[in-house]
Amino acid sequence: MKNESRPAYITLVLAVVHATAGLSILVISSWFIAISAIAPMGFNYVIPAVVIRGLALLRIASGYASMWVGHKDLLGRIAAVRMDVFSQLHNCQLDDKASSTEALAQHTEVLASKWIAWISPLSSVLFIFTVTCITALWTSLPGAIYLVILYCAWIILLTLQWLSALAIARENTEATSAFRRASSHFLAASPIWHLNSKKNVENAPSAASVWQQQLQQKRKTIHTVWMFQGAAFLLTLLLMAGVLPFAEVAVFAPIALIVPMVLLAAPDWASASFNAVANAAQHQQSSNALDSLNTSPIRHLAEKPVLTSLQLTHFAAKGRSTVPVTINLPAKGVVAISGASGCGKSSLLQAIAGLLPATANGERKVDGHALPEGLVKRWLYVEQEPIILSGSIKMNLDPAGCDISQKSMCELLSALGLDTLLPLTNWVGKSGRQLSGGERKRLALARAVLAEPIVLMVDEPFEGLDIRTQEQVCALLEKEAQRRLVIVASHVLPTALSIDKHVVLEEANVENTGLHERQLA
Amino acid sequence: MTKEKVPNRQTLTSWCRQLDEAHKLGVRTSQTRLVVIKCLSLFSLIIGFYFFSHIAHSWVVNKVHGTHSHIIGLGLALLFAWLLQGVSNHKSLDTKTNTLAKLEKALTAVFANRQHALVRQQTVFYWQSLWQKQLHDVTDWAVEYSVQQAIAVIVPLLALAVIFVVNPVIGAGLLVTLPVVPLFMIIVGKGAAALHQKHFIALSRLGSMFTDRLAALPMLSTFQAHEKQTDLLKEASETLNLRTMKVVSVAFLSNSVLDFFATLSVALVAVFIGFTLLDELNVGPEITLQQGLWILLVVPLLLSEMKRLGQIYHQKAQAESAMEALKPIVASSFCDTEMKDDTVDATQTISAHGENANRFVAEKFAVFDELAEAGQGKNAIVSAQTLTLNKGDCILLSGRSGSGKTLLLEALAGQRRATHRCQWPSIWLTQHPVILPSSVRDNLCLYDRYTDQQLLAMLEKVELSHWLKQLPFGLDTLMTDYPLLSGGEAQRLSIARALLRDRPLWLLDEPTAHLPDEQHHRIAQLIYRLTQDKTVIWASHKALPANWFSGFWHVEHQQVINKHPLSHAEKKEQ
Repeated sequence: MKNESRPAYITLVLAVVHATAGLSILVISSWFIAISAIAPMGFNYVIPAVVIRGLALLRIASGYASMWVGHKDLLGRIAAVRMDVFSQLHNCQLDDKASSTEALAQHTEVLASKWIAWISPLSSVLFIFTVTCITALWTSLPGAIYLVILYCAWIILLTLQWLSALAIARENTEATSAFRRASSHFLAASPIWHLNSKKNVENAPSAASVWQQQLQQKRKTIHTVWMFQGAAFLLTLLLMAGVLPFAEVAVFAPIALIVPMVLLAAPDWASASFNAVANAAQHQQSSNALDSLNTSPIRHLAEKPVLTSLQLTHFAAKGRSTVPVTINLPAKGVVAISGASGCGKSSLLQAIAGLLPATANGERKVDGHALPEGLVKRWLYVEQEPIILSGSIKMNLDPAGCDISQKSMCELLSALGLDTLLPLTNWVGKSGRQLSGGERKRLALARAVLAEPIVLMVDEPFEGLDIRTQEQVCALLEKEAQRRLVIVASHVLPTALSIDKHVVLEEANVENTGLHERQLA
Repeated sequence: MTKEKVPNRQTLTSWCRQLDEAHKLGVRTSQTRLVVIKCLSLFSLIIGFYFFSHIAHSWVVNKVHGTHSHIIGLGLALLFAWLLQGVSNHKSLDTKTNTLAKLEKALTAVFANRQHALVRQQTVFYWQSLWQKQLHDVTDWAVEYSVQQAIAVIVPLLALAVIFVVNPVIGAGLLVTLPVVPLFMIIVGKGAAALHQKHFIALSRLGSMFTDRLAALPMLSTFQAHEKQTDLLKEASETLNLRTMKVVSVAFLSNSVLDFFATLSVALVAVFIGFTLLDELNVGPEITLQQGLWILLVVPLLLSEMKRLGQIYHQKAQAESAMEALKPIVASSFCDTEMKDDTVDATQTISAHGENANRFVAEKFAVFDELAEAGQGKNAIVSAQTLTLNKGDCILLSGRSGSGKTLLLEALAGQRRATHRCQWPSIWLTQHPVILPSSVRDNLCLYDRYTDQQLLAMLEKVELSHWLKQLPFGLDTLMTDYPLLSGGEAQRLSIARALLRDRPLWLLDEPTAHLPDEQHHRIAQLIYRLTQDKTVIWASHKALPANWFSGFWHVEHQQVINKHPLSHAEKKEQ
C-alpha cells in the first residue's frame, strides 16, 4: 500500500523500555542477592534496592503505557488503512464478492497491526540482545562469549524461520483458495447429494490442507522456540560446569552470575521474537493480497437525457451466454422484458446501465447517438437482491447526501406499503432490523425513484410480494413512467401493470450464442 | 419423542464435553495428558533452578567450582525440562490435527444427513467459514486454551509449595501480599474477558461496517455516493475508536494488575532476601544464597503461566462464537438417533395396516424447527392429522409460496426433524437444477457408472438428443460455470439424471416455477409421462391438469389438508 502512515515510534520505545526493565530486574536482583551474601565492607545496599524497586515501577508503567498507546495506534491505523483501501476502490467493483470483502477486512487488520504484532516485539528483543552482548563484551563479563554464541544461534534460527514462514504463508494462501473453490462447487451441488449420499461424503472436499499449513506455521514457531530453549539451556549448563573456551579464567564473584542468569532466562525474554516472525510472514502475505486486488473499474459517463428513444442493436452483456437483442425503446413509458430465468434479463439491464460491459458489436444509441462504454449518470438499476446499507432508513434512501426532503421520502414509503419502516431514523441492515426480501426490493426501488432517474431499470420487482403490494408497486412504476423510461425485467408480469412495450427474450442455446466456435477454438 | 434437555446458556466446557462424547474425539484424555507433561516439564525446571542456585552458591560464597553431582543434576533437570517441553509441543499439535479431522468428519456426516434442507438455509460463504475457520477455533480452544487454563492453576500452587518449604516467611508473605491464586484467576479472567470482548466487538463492528460498504461498491458508484460514505465511514470509525479507547483503558488497568504483582513480587522478594543476607532484617529463618537465589528464580513462575493464558484469551472468544454457530448443527445430528426411534413408530403404523412396503401412513404428522433451541423446537412448523401415500400415487401439493411445501417434502425425505419419514428411496427435482461445471457425462453419472448407450437413451427420452448433437464434444463437452443451457434444457438434463437412478419416490419441488408458460407445459407433460410407474408428490402453484393426480394435499396455516380434486387447489397464484 502506498499510503503508509507515520511509524509508531512511541509504541516501539515503550515496548523496548518494558522488555529492558524486565531483564534488568532479574539481573540486578540476582547480583544483589549474591553480593549481599558475601557483604563486602562498606557495601552500599540502599542504591541497588532502590534501583530494583524503581525498575519494577518503570516496568509496570511502561507495560501499561505500551498497551494503551499500542492499541490506540492500532485502532487509528485500521481506520487509516481501511479508508485508504476504500478510497482506492472509488468507482471500482470487486470481482469476487463475499469471500473477498471479508478477506479485505482481515488483511487490513493484519496490515494495521504490524507494529504491535511484529515490529515492536522483534526490535525490542533485537535491541536488548544486542545491547546485552555489547555491554558484556565491553565490560568483559565472565562468560560473555556464551552470550555471543547464543546471539548467533538466535540470528540463524530467526533467519531460517523467516524463510520457511514465508513459504508456508504462501502455500496457506494457495490451499485456502483451493479449498474455497472445491467447497463452493461441493455446496452448490447440495440439491443432488441425495443421489449418491455415501459417495458424496467420501468425496467431500477437506479443509485439512488449509489447517495443515496453519498448524505447520505454528509448529515451525514452536519448534524454533524449542531449539532456542535447548541452546540456551546447553550454554547455561556449559558455563555453570566451568567449561570456558579461550583464555577466560573462572571468576568467583557475584558479577559472574549475570551471564548465567541471562542465559537461563533467555527463553522467556527472547521467544516473543519468533512469534513476531510468523506474524511478519502473515503481514507480507496480506500486503501482497491487497496489492493484487482484483477490481474492475467502473467508467462514468455524463448525464444523458433520453429525448425520443433508446435504441439497442445486437446488444448483450459480454462474456455471458445470452442472445443479443435489437430493440427500440421509447423515452417514456413502461417496457417489460420477460423470459425464463437464466435467459439474461438481469445482465441485459446491467449492460444497459453500464454496470457490465457490452459485447463488441453491440450498440446503445440515445436519440441516434451511440454511447461509449460506461455507467451513465442517473440511469439507475435496481438489483434483484438489492444491497441495503447497515444504517438508518434515511441514509439508505439518500446514500449520497443530496438533502432529499423527508416529506417526499415518507410519502414514497407509504405509497409502497412500507409505513412499518418509519420513522426514517430506524436502523436497518446487519446490526439493525432485518428486512425481508420484499421490503429490501421496495426500499431499493424507493431509493432509485428518489434519485430522479432518467432511465429506471428494475429487476424482478414482484418476486416475494403479495398481490396487494404488487399492485402498489405497479401503480408507482406507472406513475414514474409518465416522466421517464421504466424498464421492468420479470418472469411474471402482474395483470395490474399496464405495459407500453413488451420484449420477450429468446433463451440462449448452443445455436444462437456461438458456443461451437468458442469451444473448438 | 424423548425430550433432550439443553440448558439455555450452555458453557463452552460442557458443550465441548458433550461434543467429545458424541463424536469420540478423545479430547479430554489428551487434555489431561498434555497438562501432566507440561507440569512435569515445569517441575523439572524448578529442580534445575535448585541445582543452579547450588552452583552459584559454591561460586560466590565458597569461591570454588560447583560439585559434579550438582552439575550433573542441573544437566539432567534442564534436559528433562527441555525434552518434556518438546513432547508436549508435539502432542498438542498432533491432537489438533486429529481432532480437526474428526470434527470435519462429523460435519460432513451432518451434511450427508441433512443435505439440501440444511445447506439451503445459509450462504455458501457461511458454510465455508464454519467449516474452515470455526472448527479450527473450537480445536484451538480445546487443545490450547483449556490446557493452559489448568496449567495456570497447578503451576503457581507447585511454585508456592516449593517456596514454602524453602522459606515459610517468604511463602506466607507471598500468599498474603499476592491475593492468592484463585483471586488472580478471577482478575485475569474478568480483566482479559472485558478487554477482549469489548475490543473484539468494537473491531468486528468496525469490520462489518467496512465490509458492508465494500459489498455495496457498485450501488455507491451508481448513486455517486462514494464520497459521502467515505466521510461517514471515517466519522464512524473515529467516534468508535474514541469510545473503545475509553473502555479499553479501564480494561487494561485490570490486566496490568497481574503485571504489577508479577514484577513487584520479584523486586520485593529480591530486596527482602538481600536484606536478610545482609542481616539488616531478621524475620524468620536464616537464608543462604542458594535458598535465596532458588526462590528468586521460582517466583516468576507464580504468574507467568497465567500471563500466557491472558495472551491466548482471544481463543475463548472465538470458540464461543464458533459454538453459537455449530451447536444447532451438531445438535441436529443427535436428533437423528431420536428420529430412528420414531421411524419405528412409522413402520409399526405401516405394518399395522398390513400393507408394509406399498403404503406409507403417518398419523399425527409433525415437522419441527431444528434451528430453534431444543426446548422450543417442539412446536410443529407443519403438521397433518393423517398423511397416506400408496405406491403409484401421484399427489399434487399446493399452497402459497412460503407455506411450507418444501418443509413437508424435506421431512418426508428424512432431511428434517419430524415424527415420520418415508423410507422409500427418493429423487428430488428442484426449481433450479444443479449443473456441475464438469462434462455432460459427469453431470449425468455423478459417482455412478452408466454406459454411453444408457446415457444417450435417457437424453433421447427427455428430448435432449438434438441439443447433444450440437455440442462440440458430445458427452464430453464441459458445462463450465456459465453453462449454455436454457432453463428448460437444464431441467431436462436433471430429469435425465433422475431417471437414470431407478427410485420409486419422486419429490418435485416446483420444477417448472421459473419457466415461461409454454416451457412449463412441455416440461410438466414430460415429467408426467416419464413418471407413470413412480410415486410422485408434486409441489406446484402453476396450473396442472387435475386428472393427472390421485390425491391433493394443500398446505395452509401450517396444516396439511386433503382436498377434493375439484377444489381450487391447483389455482394459479400469480
